[in-house]
Amino acid sequence: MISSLYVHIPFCKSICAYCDFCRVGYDQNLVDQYLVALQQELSQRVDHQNLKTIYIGGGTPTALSDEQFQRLLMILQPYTKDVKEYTIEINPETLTKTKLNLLSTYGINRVSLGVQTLNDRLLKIIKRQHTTEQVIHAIDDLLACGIDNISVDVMFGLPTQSLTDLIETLTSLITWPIKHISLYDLTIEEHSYFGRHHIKKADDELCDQMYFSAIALLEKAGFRQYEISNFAKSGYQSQHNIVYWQYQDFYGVGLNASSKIGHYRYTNTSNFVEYLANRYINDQIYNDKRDYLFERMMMGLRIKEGIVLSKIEENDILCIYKEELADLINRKLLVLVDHRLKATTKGYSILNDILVDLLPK
Amino acid sequence: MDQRYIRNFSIIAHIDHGKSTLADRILEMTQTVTKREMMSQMLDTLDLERERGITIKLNAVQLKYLALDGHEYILHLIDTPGHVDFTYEVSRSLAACEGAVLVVDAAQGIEAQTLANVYLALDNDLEIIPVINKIDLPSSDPERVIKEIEEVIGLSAHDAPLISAKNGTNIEQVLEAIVKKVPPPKGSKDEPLQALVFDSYYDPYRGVIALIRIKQGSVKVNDEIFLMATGKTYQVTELGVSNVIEIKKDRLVCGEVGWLAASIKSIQDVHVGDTITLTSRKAKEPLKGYRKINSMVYCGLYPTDAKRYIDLREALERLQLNDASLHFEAEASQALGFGFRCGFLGLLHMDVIQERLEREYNLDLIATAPSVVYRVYLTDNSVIEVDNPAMMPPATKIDHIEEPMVKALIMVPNNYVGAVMELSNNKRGIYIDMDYIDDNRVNLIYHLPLAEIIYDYFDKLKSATKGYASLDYELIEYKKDDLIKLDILLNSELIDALSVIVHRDQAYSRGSIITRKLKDLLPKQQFEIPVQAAIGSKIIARTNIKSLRKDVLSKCYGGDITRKKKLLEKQKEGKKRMKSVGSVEIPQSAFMAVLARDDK
Repeated sequence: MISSLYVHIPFCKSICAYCDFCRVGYDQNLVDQYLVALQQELSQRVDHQNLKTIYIGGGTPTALSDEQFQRLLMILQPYTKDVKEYTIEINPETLTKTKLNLLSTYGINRVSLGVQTLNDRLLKIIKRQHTTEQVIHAIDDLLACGIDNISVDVMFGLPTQSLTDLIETLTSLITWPIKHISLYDLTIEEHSYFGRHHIKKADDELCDQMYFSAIALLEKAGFRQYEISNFAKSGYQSQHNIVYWQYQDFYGVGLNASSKIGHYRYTNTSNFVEYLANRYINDQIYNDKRDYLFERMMMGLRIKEGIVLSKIEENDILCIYKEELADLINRKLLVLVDHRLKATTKGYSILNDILVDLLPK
Repeated sequence: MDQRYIRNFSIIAHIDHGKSTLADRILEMTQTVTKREMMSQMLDTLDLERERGITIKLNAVQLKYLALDGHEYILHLIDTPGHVDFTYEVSRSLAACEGAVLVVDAAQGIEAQTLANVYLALDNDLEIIPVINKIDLPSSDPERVIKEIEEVIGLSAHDAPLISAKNGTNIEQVLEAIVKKVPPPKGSKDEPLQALVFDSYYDPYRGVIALIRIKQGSVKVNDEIFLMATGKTYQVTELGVSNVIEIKKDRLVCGEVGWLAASIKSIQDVHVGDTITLTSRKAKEPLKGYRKINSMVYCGLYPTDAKRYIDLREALERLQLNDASLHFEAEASQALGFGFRCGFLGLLHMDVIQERLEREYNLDLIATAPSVVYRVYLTDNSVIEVDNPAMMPPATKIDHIEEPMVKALIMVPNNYVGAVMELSNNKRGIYIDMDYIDDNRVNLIYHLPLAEIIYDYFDKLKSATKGYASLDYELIEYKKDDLIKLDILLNSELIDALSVIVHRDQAYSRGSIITRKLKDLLPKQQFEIPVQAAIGSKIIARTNIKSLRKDVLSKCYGGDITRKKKLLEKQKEGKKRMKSVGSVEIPQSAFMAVLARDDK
């Protein structure tokens, strides 16, 4: 039974300097055609029943016109019957009155707001289109229409960003009535604006310092770190993302979206022509037991509390990764107690190192 | 065959002036190969040569040409390698000829290599035929280049063929000039045999094939031959000439250029420059100009994966079958385990061998920084040669050290003379001479330590002159200087493969450059690591690599598992290419860090 659905809206009004995700500039005709194809894909691939979480991401879902935005929500409506958490990504400058009203009309109860930083100078550098003032308005508006489960994306390691810049952003944010913060380290992607222009991020040591300072500051303010990049007030962890991390099954629809169903993973085409011709799936991977268990650990160890393994999983993991695990446990990077496999405090901050050791050859 | 109608010639040129293209056109013109058969640049057979646009191995081709005077001539075109590493081979190839076609680019004019090649040709008393190539280029200026040739080289060039090898323009004029100006071979077929070996290659079925020029006498199949330098005897099994494909013959006579097989097992037994004579009727003396070639540059080659040591040895043995100038012997490094100390003619030769090992034999290698051969005079009055800085004896046992010096010919536009002089002085160069080629260009001669050339002289020369300078050099002597060994310590452990010999005055700056570079190159480990440079027990530079604090993927990839996994796989790949030395993991690139420059 698949309980989660991701919907990708690959359109943006402008392209951020760090982004190399699957997105294109907004084009009214293209969006119209895309929505038709999206509806088609949903009807072919996704079961109406039983969905518990839906997440609309992008791109910029709110880049759509008000009318298109409504059409999108109507397309999804049949899938929302049992949904507990219905999230949409919003850019502060794109939230119109009409869209606000549509959110509550169609049952959206969680918003992920792309804030990144509250420093207007840095916002310009990363080519975001909003200002700090617009963020404040957006949050007020969302609260006013009854959406109180607000998550905010924050980035660090931005070019020229200082530790103080980050602390100031976080210090403001924690006083606001938001429930969740995602904290992302800037990666310079080769095919982003930054990558093409050889712009450097803040240096490694500073980024380390930012990450650890941010964790301390957020924890103290009651935003508990429950995943490498995610912090939440009690009871507000992202149910949708937990599905990814617990390596449960999920559908992903839309251009270049990923799905996981049992031992299979699927990646949709990133080619519009293909997609509009209803040829959605581009790549299918079958994971054997070894790969499957690796991915289970790769995702699961990101959760601070680790993974609770079933009897069978535990047997399999201990059998296949016997030496590697013994070594990592010996080095005090992992612990396995009561069927729970988790990283130690030391291991948690260097999770990649652990995973590289576990990676099948 | 009538000796009067034989012409033996080479084509010489600066790199990229069109030597190989001209050779192609000549082969076409004489219909040695049809255009359709011909892959461009026929004579360069190795892939690498083709890719880099340079000729490494030599070749000799027999062509037939019906000249305007009505006679059919036999032409032997002997190809020469076009790089400074192979000067000796070039000189032996030229020694097999009576004439040389000097190709000069109609836009670029004379360059350092043009001159160096001309000097080699003059040393061998060759008739030089200047040819102005690339007249199709809009920037070509044949008049200026002709004037240059006449003034700088002192060759008459007023009737030099003006050609475009690319378009096939006026190639016949080149052939006519060869026939008219290059003298026919001298010597007599009745004298005792003197055959010059100017190249060789290994054939798995017939053993070593020697490419030879008969200077005196003749040789037949079944003759017993005597190699005068190595003192070995063999029985000739096959003889022939090559006109792209091999043609077997019973006999080669004075004036001819061909190949000889005699069940010779190892290419080390056939030295380029050696003289072949007959056991039954030995020549009184060998041909002039032979010398044993020595490696100029050494480096250590180690398999990244220790299990592939045997594979590396086999690959080196295979390459050596066809490359007598490649030397190697087993060595062990504390840091890198088992590998080989390899000797090369120069940097290009080294690069080519490394690339072939990685490409053709699929080996992952760690190469240590190249080193020259030092002569070390010990306090007990003995002398040793050291080609590996790690093997340098302790300073207390050394009286003094000598290093190889080269005579460098630098040709440069005159507004860069100051920059070149400053650079050469900083690189411990000694000014020897300077002369003006024309109003714009200057020929500078410096004596420079070879070690500086392989460190960064060439790159710096290029950047100081916006790429206009050209450089040629030859080894001239060994010279004493105040040289010391600089050691590198990681986590207080001496890494032998990172030691380097430097001049005392440069030790501090090199030490700090290397330690800083290593700090950038070494990945953070789970503990702090000091990186130190030391002379003996004295630490002269130090930096610290901070310990790894955070290594997590904190980017918003959501459900994109593939992408997360790819990043980890990349990280693992990087880790695989590292060597664990004690508790420190060192990436491949770090072993070249001792070559790091201060330009960052």
